[in-house]
Amino acid sequence: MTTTPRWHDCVVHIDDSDISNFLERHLSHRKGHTVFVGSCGFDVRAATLARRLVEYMGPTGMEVMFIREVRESGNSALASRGAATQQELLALYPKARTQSVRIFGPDRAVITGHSVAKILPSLPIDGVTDFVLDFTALSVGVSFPLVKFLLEHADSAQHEVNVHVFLTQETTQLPTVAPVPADTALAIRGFTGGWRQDAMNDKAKLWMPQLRTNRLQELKRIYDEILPHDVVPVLPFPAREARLGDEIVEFYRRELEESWEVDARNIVYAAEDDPVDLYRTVLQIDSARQRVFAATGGSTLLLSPTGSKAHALGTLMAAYEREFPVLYVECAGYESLDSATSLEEAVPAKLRHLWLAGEVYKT
Amino acid sequence: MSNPFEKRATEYLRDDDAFLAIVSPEPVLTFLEPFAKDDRLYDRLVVIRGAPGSGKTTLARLFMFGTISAIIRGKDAITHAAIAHAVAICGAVRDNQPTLIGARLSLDSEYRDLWEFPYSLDLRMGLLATLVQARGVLAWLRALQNEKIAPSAITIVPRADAAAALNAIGGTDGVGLGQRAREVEAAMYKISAALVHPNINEIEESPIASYRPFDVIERIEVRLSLTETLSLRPLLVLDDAQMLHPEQLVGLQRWLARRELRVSRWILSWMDVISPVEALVESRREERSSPELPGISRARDVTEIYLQGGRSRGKDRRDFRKTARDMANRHLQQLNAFTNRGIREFADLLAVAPEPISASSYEELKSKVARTQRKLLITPARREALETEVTRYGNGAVNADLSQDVAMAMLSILMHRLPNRMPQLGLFGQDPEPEPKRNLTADSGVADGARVHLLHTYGRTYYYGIEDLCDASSENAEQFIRLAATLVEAAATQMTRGKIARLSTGRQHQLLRKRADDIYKSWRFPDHEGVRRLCDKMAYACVAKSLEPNAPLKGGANAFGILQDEFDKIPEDFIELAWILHRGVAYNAFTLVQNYPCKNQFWCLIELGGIPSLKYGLTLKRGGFIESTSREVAALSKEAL
Repeated sequence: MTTTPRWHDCVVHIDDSDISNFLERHLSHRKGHTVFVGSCGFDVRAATLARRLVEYMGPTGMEVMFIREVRESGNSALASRGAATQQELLALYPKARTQSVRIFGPDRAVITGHSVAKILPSLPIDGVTDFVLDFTALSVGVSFPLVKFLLEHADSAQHEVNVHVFLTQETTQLPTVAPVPADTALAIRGFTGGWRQDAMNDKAKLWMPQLRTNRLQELKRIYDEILPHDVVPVLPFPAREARLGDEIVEFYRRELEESWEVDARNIVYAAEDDPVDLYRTVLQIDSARQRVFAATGGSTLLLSPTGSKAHALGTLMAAYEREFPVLYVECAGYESLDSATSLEEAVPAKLRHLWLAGEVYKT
Repeated sequence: MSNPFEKRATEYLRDDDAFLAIVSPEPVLTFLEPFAKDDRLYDRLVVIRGAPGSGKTTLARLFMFGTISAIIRGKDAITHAAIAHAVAICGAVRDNQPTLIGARLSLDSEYRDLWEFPYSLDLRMGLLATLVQARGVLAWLRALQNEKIAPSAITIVPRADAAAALNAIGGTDGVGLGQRAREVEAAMYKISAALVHPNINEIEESPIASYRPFDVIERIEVRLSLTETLSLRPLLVLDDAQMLHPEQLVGLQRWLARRELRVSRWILSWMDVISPVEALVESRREERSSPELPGISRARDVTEIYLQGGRSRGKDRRDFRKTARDMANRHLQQLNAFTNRGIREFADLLAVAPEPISASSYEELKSKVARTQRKLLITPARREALETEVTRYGNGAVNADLSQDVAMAMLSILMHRLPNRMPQLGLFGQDPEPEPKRNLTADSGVADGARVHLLHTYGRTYYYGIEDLCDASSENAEQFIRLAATLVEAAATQMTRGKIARLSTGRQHQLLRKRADDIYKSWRFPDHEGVRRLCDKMAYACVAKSLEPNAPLKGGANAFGILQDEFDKIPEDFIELAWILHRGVAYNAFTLVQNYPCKNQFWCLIELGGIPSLKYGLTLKRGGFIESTSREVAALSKEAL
């Protein structure tokens, strides 16, 4: 493939002043029709962008929708935190709507994708010039189809539609909560990439899991589901903690050496906090493999956003562009490991803005 | 050393020969042969149920076309001979040729997803049937393609009454069939993968309407040469059926139970298939027409095979031991480190000579028994009679662990049982040394109780030998391999240090308990917290019961019992408990034993699995349970320790 990747020159704002500048000039002063979609779960970072936006847009300057993910886990400590976050958000935006997304059906099967599909018609579309999505606290089963829907809308709309995705950076692996994995691995809705289709059997399958510690069960389940021909794990580097990659390698030593048979030369490093770095790397690997495997049935990459949120966003971008399957294990619930520590105390909040579609890409 | 015991079953899925080297034929002979003899494996719906890791997929894999082809190619190899014989007995091979074209579909979340579409029940079931059939046809064609058979060499033989429907499925030749199946699959993909649910008109106008190859195909013929044609019966194995919505599964079974279908079809699922209601109630297998399948008689139209709990528990256990030994031997024979030293049998790695408690502990035990004798006012003559009884048992018991410490602990138990057996004394004219109402007998139950007491009081070796390893596996092949792996690794380490490979009983005991503890701590699945809480509380209560001085339950308790009628109401009365039990059974934390007769009533036993039993030091023998209620068990699952 020789075409330039869509987000090769992705517009990104990292510095606080750049973000302020963008919020003021593009969203606040321009007076477009803006829709803000965020989360109101237990993750206190859900309020970071909301607090920032209200300084520029005011409580009624945008249509606001908060998504509440409903799981059966019944962790009362986290439920309390969720209620507190929701209260704060609704105090900031009194006219905001809250939509519930059920993650599990009555038989405890994963229905995330369908639940998201049900709320999409309620998303305001007509005349909207800017969609702002807070990627941080939404789980990947929810955020991925949402972003895809917005991008597809922007790509097909008659008028200019801007899609902005924000991340509140987590630059350490915070041990305050641990997800409890569901039983099975599956493809994220909208990102199946035809992976179960018969034609996929002819392709060389390369799995690229993004690694972080304490995700062993999820990764085993995904591996068992895919049975890839090769595995190229992604490690976060550079990272806030310089030795994070080493710790992760040690944690997964047995899998890397035995089950997955990873050649040490086949480990990929992507900046912990930069989605575009991973996005570019994935596309480069895919382009190289297409050339190699063209004569023998082709190649496909299967991605798993099991690392940081920044890596998840990079995965989404790559998968959207080239229709890679994205496999994950839904989270059945969360265990609260350290209720005394709030996320905001642990890590200073730092925003990153990615402008994924709209007027800046007009040629 | 790459340890085949550490490899997961899925890692063998690609290489047929590696798979055949380690797979045991015993489950085929145990579970499938009886039905093959009655000709009930291929002409009707077969439902095979077992817990995760019980070997369903492994069993079915033996009937896949690629595997059978590998078996036939390697039939003269020692490793393949037993397997070749087993599949031949089940009719999959005849005259050195396959008789089946078997393919497997995993009914993963994509199929379950179809249930969530906002369409009518009939349409959703229709979509499911269409996807299964399209994928089934493609799976057969691919299985042949993998054996270098081109689609142009493949034709189907339609049912006599189905010629008119041939066009809809792409005709009779492999090329047309494959093309049509891919079209249908692509159309299904467009529906199932769409972000927003497609309009119903789009579905009705799509190419998937009227696609029903299972109603048409009778046989698949392969032209091997100008003069030789192979006629194969198509077999489709639908694995992981527990992933479907309960109503989907009922609909699927109803469809596939129709006797006019000529394709062979097997459904594999967990024991606790449907919802907690089905999981806990349906598993009582009575010969009856299912109310969910009107017009279908399960006995006549469906062959049901249970890899666990389908026959007497004793038989299940014995058969599993046989399979496990065979499996372990085959795995071991992959390791040169052992075969180079002539070690080919797994049991040879495991010493069976028990290690008694230390001399000082024995002295302490003796003193304790002496104090017991004084406290219970047992005369020396009575004590001697009890010692004689213990000796009598010891002389008659074969291969029993009856060193002096066990004998002393048995004596202690019998002493504590004595007061309950003595007649009540009146005030006048009584024999100062009355005889017990019933004689006290030393038996294997008392011996086991003694060993459990010694385990907890003095840390005596308790778990060792191949039989304990099998019994600790809850009749689950994967769990057996995981436990065995730790023993193999330790044996290999001993060899590298110049020692013999054989592990002492003490070492086995230590390794098994540590491994069980690690596995227990690594449990991470939905509801694992509730499962663990319930296991912990039950285990603590069982330990306390097991350590009662008179060992009322012989080797002790490892289960809670709830009256069956009360248990049947758990899904209605305690839905969260139902889910915890559902998960616990799925992950071998518990086993449910329904309609267990005791004290003139029927009970459901919630039996702790091998892993928690090893962790907490409970007997692996069955039958000892603590009477309880649903409410009490529900409360236990909520309380932290």
